[in-house]
Amino acid sequence: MLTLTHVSKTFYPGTPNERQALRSVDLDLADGDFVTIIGSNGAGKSTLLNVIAGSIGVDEGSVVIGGRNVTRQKEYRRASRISRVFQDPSAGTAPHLSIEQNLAVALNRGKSHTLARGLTHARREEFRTQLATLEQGLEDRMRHRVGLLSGGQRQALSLLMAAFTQPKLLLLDEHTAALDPERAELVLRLTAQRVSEQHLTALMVTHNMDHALRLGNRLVMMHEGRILHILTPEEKKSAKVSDLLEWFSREKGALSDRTLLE
Amino acid sequence: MLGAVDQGLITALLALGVFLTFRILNFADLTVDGSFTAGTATAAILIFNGMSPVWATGAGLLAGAAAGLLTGLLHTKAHIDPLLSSILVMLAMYSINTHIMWLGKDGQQRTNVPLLNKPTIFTWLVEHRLRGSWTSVTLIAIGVIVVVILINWFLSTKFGLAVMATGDNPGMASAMGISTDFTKIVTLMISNGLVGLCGAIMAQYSGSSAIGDGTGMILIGLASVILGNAIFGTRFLWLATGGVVVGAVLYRVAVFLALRWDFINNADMKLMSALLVVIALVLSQWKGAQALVTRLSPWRTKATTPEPMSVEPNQFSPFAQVDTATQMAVVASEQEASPPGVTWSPGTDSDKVLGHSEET
Repeated sequence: MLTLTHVSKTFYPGTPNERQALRSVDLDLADGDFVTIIGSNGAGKSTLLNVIAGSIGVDEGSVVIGGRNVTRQKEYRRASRISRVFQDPSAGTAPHLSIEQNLAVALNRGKSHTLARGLTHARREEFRTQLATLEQGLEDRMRHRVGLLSGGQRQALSLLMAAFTQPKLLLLDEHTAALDPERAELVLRLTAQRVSEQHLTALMVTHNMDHALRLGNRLVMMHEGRILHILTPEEKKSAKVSDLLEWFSREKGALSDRTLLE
Repeated sequence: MLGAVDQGLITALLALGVFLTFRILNFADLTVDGSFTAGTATAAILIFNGMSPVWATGAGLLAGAAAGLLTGLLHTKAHIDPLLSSILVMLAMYSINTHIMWLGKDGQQRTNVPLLNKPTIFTWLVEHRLRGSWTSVTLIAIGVIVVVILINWFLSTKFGLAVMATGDNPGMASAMGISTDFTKIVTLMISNGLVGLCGAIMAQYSGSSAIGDGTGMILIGLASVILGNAIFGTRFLWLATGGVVVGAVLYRVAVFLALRWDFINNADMKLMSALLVVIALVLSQWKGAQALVTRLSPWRTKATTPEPMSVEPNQFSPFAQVDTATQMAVVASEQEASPPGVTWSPGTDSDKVLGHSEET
C-alpha cells in the first residue's frame, strides 16, 4: 500500500542549522496494516508523515502509494488517497465553518469542486448518522461553528472527516497529544474502532509508548532520522514498555559506536 | 439624497467584492483601488469610442477581474505576501489605466474621459429625469440584490465551501484536496471583477472617468463591510452580505449629509471618507453601540453566558473579524508608509467583540 524507499530529507542544508530529519528511511506497509511510530523529539516522526502527505518534499528517495509514485505530487493532489489527523485539534478543521460545512468539505475530498450544492438534505442525514457514532451529541449541533467545540470533540470530528471517504492511507500525527487523558482515551478508542471497521491502512505517530503498543499490528522505532527497528506482529504482541526502552538504549549505544567508527 | 442612495447601491458591488476577499478569503487585497479605475477607464473609453454601454460595462468587469488575476498569480505563483502583491498590482494598474485612457479613437493622451452626451446604461433614466429618484433606486437595488443572491449561491456550492475553507484554514483545505492556489485566484478574480463592474457603472452614473477615481475606494469598501457586519452580524451569510449592501448605502448617505454643511466642500471628500471610516471602526468596537444593536436585532439572541470559544486568536476568520478588518483598514489608510510583508495579528474573536451569541 505504502512504500518508502531511501527517503532522505535535510532541513536548512549548508547552514549552521542543518538538520538531517530523515536519513535513508525504508518502510513498507501492506494493505490493512496499522503501524504505530514512536521515537524521541527530533526523531523525524512528524517529518516522515509530512513527507508521505506531501506537505514537505523529499531530497532523495521515493514515495509510492497504492502502486503509484507520488513523490513529486502536490499535497492537495495526494489528498484523494491520504487522510490526515493533526496533532493540533484546530489544524484539521475550519473553525468558522459549521460542523456540517466541515463535513461537506471532507466528503468532497479528492473530487472536483463543482458548482453543485455543497449541502443537501440527503447529505445532512448522512452526516447526522455518522456524527451519532462519535457519541458526542454533535449530531444535534450540526449548524454550530467548529470553533465552539472542545479539543476532544474536534479531534473526534477530524477523525470522522479523515476516515469517511475511505482513504487508502490514514495518517495520525500525535492526534491525542493535545488532549487530556480522558479525551485521549476516547479519541484512541474511536481511532481503533474506525480503523478496524473500515479496514484502513494507518500510520500513527505517538509519544505514548503504551498507546503505541496497544494499537496497531506493527511498531516502528525511530531515532535521529533513522528507523531503528520494526517490531513484527509477533514481537509487538509480547512487547512491553520496558522492552521498548531497552531496545532504544541498546540501539542508541550501537549507533554512537557506529558513529565513532565512521 | 436619493442620488446618494443610488451611488451607495452601486458602491455596494465594490463592497461585496471586498467582503469576498477580506472576510471570506482572509486576503488583504488592496488591488481594489487599481481595479476600480480599470473598470471606470475601460467602460468609459469604450463608450467614448462608440461601443454599446452594456458591452462596455462587461468589459469593465473583465478589466477588474484581470487585475485580480494578476494579484492572485503574484501571490500564489511568485509567493509574494498578499498585501504586497496587491499593492504592487495597485501601483502597476495606475500606468495600465492611464494607457487604457489613451485608447480614445482620437488618439489624445487624456487623464479624464468625459461621457457627456454619450449613451450609457443610465440614458433612459437621465432622459426621463429619473436619476436619483425612487425608480432609479429600485432598479439599481434589484440589480444589487441579484448579485447578492449570486454570491450566496456561489458560497453554498462545493467550490464556494472550498473557498471558505481556504480562507478559514488553508492547511486543512490543502489536506482535504483543495487547490488553495486555484480557489484564491478565482475568488480574487470574482472580487475584483465586481469592483471593476462597480467602476464601470459608477463612471456611467457620474458621467466621466478620471485616473484618480479609485483612490481610497478600498477604504469605502472596508467601511461598508465593517458598518454592515456590525449592524447585521455575520451569523448567516445572507445577513452578512445584505448587511454589506446596507453598509455601503449608509456610508454614502452619511457622506452626502456631511457635505450639506456649508463649511465642508468637495475638496474635503477624502477627509470625510477617512473620518467616517474611523467613526465606523470606533463605533463597532464600542460596547454601548453593540448592546444597542443586539437589543434591536430580532434575529439575535442576547448573550447570557460567555461562549466557550476555543478559536485561537491568530486564526483568520472568514466572518466577523472586526479586529482583522480594523487593522487592514488602518494599514490601508497608511498603505504608502506601510512596509512590505506586514503580518497580520488579528486580535480576539470578534463574535465576542460584536456581542454575538450562537443561537441554540
